[in-house]
Amino acid sequence: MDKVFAIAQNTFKEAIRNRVMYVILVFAILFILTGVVVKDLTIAAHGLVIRAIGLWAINVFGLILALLLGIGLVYTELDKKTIYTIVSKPIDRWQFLLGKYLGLLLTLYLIVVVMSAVFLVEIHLLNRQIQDPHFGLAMLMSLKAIFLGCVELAVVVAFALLFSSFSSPVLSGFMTLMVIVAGRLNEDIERFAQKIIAGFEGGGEVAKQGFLAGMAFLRDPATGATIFDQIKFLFAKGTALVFPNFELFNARTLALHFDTVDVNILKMITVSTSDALIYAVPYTASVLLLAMFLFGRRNFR
Amino acid sequence: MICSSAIRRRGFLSRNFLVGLVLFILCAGFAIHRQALYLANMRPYRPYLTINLIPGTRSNQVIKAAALGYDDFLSVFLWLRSIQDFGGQFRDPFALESQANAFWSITALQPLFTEAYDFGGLVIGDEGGSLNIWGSRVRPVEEQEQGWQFVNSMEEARQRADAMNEQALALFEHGIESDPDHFRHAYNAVYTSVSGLHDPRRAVPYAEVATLRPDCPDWVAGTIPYLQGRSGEHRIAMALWFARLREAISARSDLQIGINMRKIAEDGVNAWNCQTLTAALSLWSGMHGRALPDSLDQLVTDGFLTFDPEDVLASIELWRAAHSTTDPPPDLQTLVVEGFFPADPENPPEPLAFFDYIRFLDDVRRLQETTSQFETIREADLNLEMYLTVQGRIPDCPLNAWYIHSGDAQMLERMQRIGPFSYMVDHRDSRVWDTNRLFEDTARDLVSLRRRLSNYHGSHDQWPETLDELFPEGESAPVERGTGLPFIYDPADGTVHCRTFPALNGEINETMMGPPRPVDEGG
Amino acid sequence: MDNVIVTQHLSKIYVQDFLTFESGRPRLNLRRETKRREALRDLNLEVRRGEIFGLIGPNGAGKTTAIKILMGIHFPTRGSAKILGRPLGDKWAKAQIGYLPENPYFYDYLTGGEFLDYYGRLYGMGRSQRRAKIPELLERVGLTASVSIPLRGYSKGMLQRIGIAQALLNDPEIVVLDEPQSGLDPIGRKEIRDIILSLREQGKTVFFSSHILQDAEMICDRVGILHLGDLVKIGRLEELLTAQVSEFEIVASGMRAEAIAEVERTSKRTLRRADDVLFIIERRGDADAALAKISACGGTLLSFTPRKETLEDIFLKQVGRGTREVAGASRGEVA
Repeated sequence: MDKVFAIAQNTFKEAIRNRVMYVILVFAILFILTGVVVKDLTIAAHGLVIRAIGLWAINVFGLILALLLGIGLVYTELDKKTIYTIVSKPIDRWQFLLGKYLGLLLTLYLIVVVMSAVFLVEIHLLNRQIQDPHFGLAMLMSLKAIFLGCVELAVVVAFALLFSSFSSPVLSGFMTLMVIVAGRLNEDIERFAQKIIAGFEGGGEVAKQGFLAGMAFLRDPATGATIFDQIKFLFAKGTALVFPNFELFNARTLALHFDTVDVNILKMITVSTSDALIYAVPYTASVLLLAMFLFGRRNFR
Repeated sequence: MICSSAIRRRGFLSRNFLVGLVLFILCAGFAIHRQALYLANMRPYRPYLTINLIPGTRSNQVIKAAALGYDDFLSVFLWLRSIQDFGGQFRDPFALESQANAFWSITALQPLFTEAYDFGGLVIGDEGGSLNIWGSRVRPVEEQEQGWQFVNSMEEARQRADAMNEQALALFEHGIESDPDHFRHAYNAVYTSVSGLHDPRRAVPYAEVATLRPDCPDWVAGTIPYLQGRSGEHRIAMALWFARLREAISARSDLQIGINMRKIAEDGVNAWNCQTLTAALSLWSGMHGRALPDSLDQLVTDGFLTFDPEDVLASIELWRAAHSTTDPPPDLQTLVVEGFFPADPENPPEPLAFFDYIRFLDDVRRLQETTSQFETIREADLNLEMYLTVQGRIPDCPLNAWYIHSGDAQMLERMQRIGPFSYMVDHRDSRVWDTNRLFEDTARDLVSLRRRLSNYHGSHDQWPETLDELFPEGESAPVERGTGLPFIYDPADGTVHCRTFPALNGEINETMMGPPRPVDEGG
Repeated sequence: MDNVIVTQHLSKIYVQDFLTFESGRPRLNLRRETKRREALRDLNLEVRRGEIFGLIGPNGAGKTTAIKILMGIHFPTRGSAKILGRPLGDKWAKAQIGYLPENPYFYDYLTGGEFLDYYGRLYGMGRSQRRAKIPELLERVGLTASVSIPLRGYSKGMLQRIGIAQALLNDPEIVVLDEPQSGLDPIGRKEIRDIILSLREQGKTVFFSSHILQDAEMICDRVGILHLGDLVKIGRLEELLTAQVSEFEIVASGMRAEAIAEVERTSKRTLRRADDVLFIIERRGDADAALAKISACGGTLLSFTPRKETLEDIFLKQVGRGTREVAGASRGEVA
């Protein structure tokens, strides 16, 4: 395991000694601090506006860094052929990949911690003016949102690693972005799938007319859905099932619009966190296993 | 052969690979299983797919999909823009339609954005629904992005105001739908219905929804009978008040007993009386031209009100004595059938509601006796009841309510002070008036007029041509300013009198003018 | 067990990627079979304990491919290999190997010390072990002064030396060096040579590839010659290089024209520069005759060099049919 940590530590060093990261970090911090000015633009919900901006910036800049650092993670080693000396050492390829993953995650978490510290200090200082009666709760819920954002980062980095283990940075960056988009539209895709089915339970007659009328032999007599519709449904359903459900990791709504009437702090903290973790841990593990499988069988140029 | 050896070399059958495969199947399977569970129990409301979008636009759905999970941030962004559009440095007060759109987008993006409903309803309903130049008196110039113009008529302004109030209501309905844990959206809808659209009947279901929400305070339930009464459903209102009164008595809550008794008296009995009598008087005057009955008794004798309240009360006492009980009879029909009340059992008198009220009134008297040991309700207690302030906004509040409010007399005495009611044909408002009160006000006005006339005669040595000459430029004539009854003036001898009250033709003394009252109480 | 590396029928066929880029344009490579390239064919060789084995061949002969397969960077298409009796990819075997790739490039954000420490951890060395070993190695490759300079500040020779240092971190049984001397100046090449020779003195096995034949000739015990993926010759250097003189170089001046013409008949090649003439003569008798002729005709003998067979000669004889460039170009570059 020390070998994994050695690789993680080296990955961390590589990221920390990368100037681009600091530029982005400075931008993120500036963005978080715009809340100080922007709060004067609203007439109510001051705390909400500041928290919305801060949590958004922490999440978005975390993802940007995950993409930027994640997609080049393995490729740089291949491109510069440093992988040759690593692979010839007495370590397994999966150890290398795991080390890379942990190292990048460690880097990202450090950045998130820095951004969060700025954010928390900011909202704490501004609260002297705003005097939010539920400030403690707001802070707690913000921390929860940031924590779940970290869980989201773990999934995103796993995907970046998966793609970067067999394709070029541009391509893997694009694919990771697509995974994020598909993951965030997960519920909509599910609704779309349900709509396909619902369309034939109620509107079977309509479907029996027109172009598809000639393809009656392809149609399920029970619902009136053609084989194409069933393929469409399976595709949509499969997409909704396979892509990561990022909505589970979105606790920002809770951090902004939490219930102040019937406060049960323990419940508010645990309610979606456990769900997210129970889902994210095996999901990330399977993505990493896939990446290890592909990477383990690869010839390096 | 080559193939199988290649497979073995690549490690398809190696221990590591098999362990990895099993792990992968377990992890991926479990994750997909969780996701399937999640999708099966998807949150019931992310309601942007079902909300009633503003006609002609589907922009909210597009925005929601394009936000990619950053709905909150985008909604805050639009919120800031809306506020700046409305009251900030980019102020454009005439673009309230676009404000409505903006708040729809904000709340579609984040259905839990409570402030957006509140503020949106305020902007769209209160501002857009008001008949001033910041509201519906102006409209954007058509086919032009900038600029505004006055609407053509007050009627158009009212239509525009109503339309904005409807949009505010729609926004609140969205809030009611999206946020099942809070009562405030429903209560905001009540407010907009009553004070914006002047439609208490429409407010009732909103109030009922509000009471179902977990954070709803108790007093919201108290608005329901009030709204029922205001929308003419006095029977329901009274039943609800009495139910609350009984609850208050069993809970021995002084405050609630007082409040509910006051409600019964003011908003129940008085309003109901007014409504019933107005109906009877309208019928009577419709059949007799514009003439008024000499008194309410005449309505009874002519058969428009086929009862006498005291008769009913007496009948109830008789019934009680006959049945050796202190309970009131179950309903008026029992009294009629058993012959305690002179009416045709096959054809019971209308409106029956009035008779049922009498039964309730009897209840009040009995309840008052059992609870008289409680402390007197103080005026300050009533200020805790938020909806009483709403009542203050209602323009046609029955005058009798003022009697109830003033003085420290016992509840029953106050109720007894509710005088005879009159339908004043000459009055500019066609409704039933508290005759005593109107008489006293008219007496005051007459005394004031006669004093001005004698002053005028003293300085000009002649009587003015019209009463208007008594008043300087800009001061309205007494008929506009006063009780609403016309005065008859004779320029020949300088006499002025009121046709409605012949008793005031002669000398007016102190007792005719009644007890002194604060100035702002005047009708 | 004498043989530390044994390969049997080791073959590698490269198949082009599904999506390729040709002069900047993406192209789908649907007929994949047509793009097969055989980089290594039936490589059978043994490397014995304690020897220096040189794998030589022109660019594109498959040297690097063979080493990459042995190091687990590539997987063989066919065949197998054993290192220290273990199959390819065995971690225990890997722990006994030090490897320096061709044109090595290391993490340029690390300092020399950090770099060696990192690699030491990858070998599973403990902290105290690393602390003892790293300064010793830096001393050995002469980089003690540069220990805290980031690798991006290193010259090519320094990088090569730190590369050798990382290959020696684990005190390996076998040291595998891929083109260790390419791109270095003569001093750098000598330093590397010295290090390799000192490794043999320590009893290590050195397996290296090179296309610079003189270097190989100087230090190798055995060599294998690769050409277009085939091992064309393998054996001890002494066995390959016959002790006999293969030809004689005679340089003379002041010869008359008819004398030159006479000698030229027995000479393999003749070169004239101003008054000087160079003859290359294969047979000893002819050479004696030529020497006699020179003195007879009044010419001056400037030099007489009997030339032995070199590795280059063997190499060229084996590769034979064309120049290296032609051989390399015929099948494209092999990485």
